[in-house]
Amino acid sequence: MSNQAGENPAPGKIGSKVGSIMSKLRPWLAPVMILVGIVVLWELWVKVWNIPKWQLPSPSEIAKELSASRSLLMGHTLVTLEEIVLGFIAALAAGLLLATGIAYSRILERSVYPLVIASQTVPIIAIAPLLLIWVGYGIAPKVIVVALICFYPIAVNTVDGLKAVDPDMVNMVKTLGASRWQVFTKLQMPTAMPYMFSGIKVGISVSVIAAVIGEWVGASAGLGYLITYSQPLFLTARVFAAIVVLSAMGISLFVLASVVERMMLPWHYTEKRASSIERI
Amino acid sequence: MNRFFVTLVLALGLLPLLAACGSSPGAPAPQTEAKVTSFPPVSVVLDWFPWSNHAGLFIAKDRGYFAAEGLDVDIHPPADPATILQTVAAGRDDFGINYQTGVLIARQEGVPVVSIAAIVQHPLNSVMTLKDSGIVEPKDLAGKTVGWPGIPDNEPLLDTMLKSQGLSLSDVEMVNVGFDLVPALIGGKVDAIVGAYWVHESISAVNQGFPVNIMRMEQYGVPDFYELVLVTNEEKIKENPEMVRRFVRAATRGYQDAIADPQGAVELLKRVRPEVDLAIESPGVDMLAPLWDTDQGVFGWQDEARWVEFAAWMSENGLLSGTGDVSAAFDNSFVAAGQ
Repeated sequence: MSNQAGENPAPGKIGSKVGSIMSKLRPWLAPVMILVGIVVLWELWVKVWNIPKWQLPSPSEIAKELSASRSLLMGHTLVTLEEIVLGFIAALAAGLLLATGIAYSRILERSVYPLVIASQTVPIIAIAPLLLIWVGYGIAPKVIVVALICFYPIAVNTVDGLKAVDPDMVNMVKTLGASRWQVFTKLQMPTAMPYMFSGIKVGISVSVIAAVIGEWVGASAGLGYLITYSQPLFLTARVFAAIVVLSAMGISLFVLASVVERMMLPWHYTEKRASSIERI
Repeated sequence: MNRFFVTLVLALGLLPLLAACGSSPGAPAPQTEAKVTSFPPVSVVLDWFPWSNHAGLFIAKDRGYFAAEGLDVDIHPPADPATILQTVAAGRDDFGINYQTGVLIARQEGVPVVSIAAIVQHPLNSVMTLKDSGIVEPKDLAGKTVGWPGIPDNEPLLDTMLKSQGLSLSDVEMVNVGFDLVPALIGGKVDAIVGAYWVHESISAVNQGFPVNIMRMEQYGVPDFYELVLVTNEEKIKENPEMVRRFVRAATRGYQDAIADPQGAVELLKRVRPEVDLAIESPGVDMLAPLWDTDQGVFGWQDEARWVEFAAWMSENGLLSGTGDVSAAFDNSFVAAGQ
């Protein structure tokens, strides 16, 4: 018995390790296969119909461009990333602050919340050129555009989260002698966190688009600038290369937000897993 | 709901027929047999929003010159000023208005566009400063900030102007201000702007209460280039030269009218495109109209020597990797036939 146990554990462990890696990778299999399929079809389409490079470059041409202009792309990527990070931090701070205010104050909810919603209906692309005139041509207008766009999903989701607390629970902990601060930190914040992270994930996905809008109307660096500059030169492969980098940046930021969420809300995920097991 | 949809589809289907019936009696020119030939609708993409430089095209449309040639012409601003040659080359638009630099760079990258008429015979692009800045010549720009619209050719153009007076691009700070050049200048965000037309933006600055100094490019070392040219794609020329000839002939009549009566031309423009600002276009067209006229007496004529000289300048300044086959970039046969 003990001998058998001594012989088997090593292969058994490896086998289960491989199995667990496989099971972790399985959800990625379908999207990756679809993506590979699209890329292959795209490549064939361009080759078969002999589509000129300036009209639609093939994936292999884009890959070549990515490698040939990597230092150029890297420089512009860092500029765009800086705009996104600063804009996102500003949006997060403003969004959380305002959401807390709105969730706690009837007056703020009635006066400011409708304005927050109205703010989302402002066409940012029309405001962006004016921002240049108001605050100048540096990084500021781009950061403001990113903040304006990311702020909304964060604020609205957090308000919903803070309001999702079961009022009976609040009453119960209050009868147990909890202070207002304790109610907030021990009950409302944990309830609101998953909502807040949903807002953050939506916000961070669109932040890349926001930065490009900010650069589109006037910039001296950044991937959005590189795209607008390359278009009149008919460097369509470079335009696509910049798009690939932007897309990768957006996906990475989303993954990063998800990882932070998992680290901060471990209970949320164990609950989720439990409920999905129950469903099975 | 269903019946409504069917009616809508029918109505939309009948519209072109109605339009065709309506336009033929309205055409002033006699309907010769050749001119009854119908062509598919013609799409023209402008270089920018409608302004006085487009007056000739709008005249040709409004006075029925296009209709007389059997052409149903739609004139529209570009979705993106940076992709005009792409939409023309791809056949989404039959004709477009664009820059001489654009045509040469496009051809180098394999974009099959050809300039078939030079609408503006000389540079409009210029450097502008505020009158009270004291900056009147390129050499005064040392250490100053210059706003530009982020279009690649503006940097070498300014560089050549600066070099004509012993400076270079490294002596100024370039700031991409997007297409809002005049607000950047009069708002004091930059000391000078490049990329603005001396027959247009200068007037809009003056109208805001800011008189400006203008430095014309061809006076400071830049070869005398054609600011705006009419382009089409190679396939169109090969497959339907008759349509191209007719279009150019009608456009020529429009521009000849505009040259003869510039103020009448912008009044017509205002009538068909009410969004244009006569406070800019009226004074502007008087400066612009002489530039539609050619030394050869043929509207739209393009001089090979000038194309060659400009291509050489572009190549020296890194805008082209070689001069390529310049003679294939333009074609005078249509303007010659349009007389």
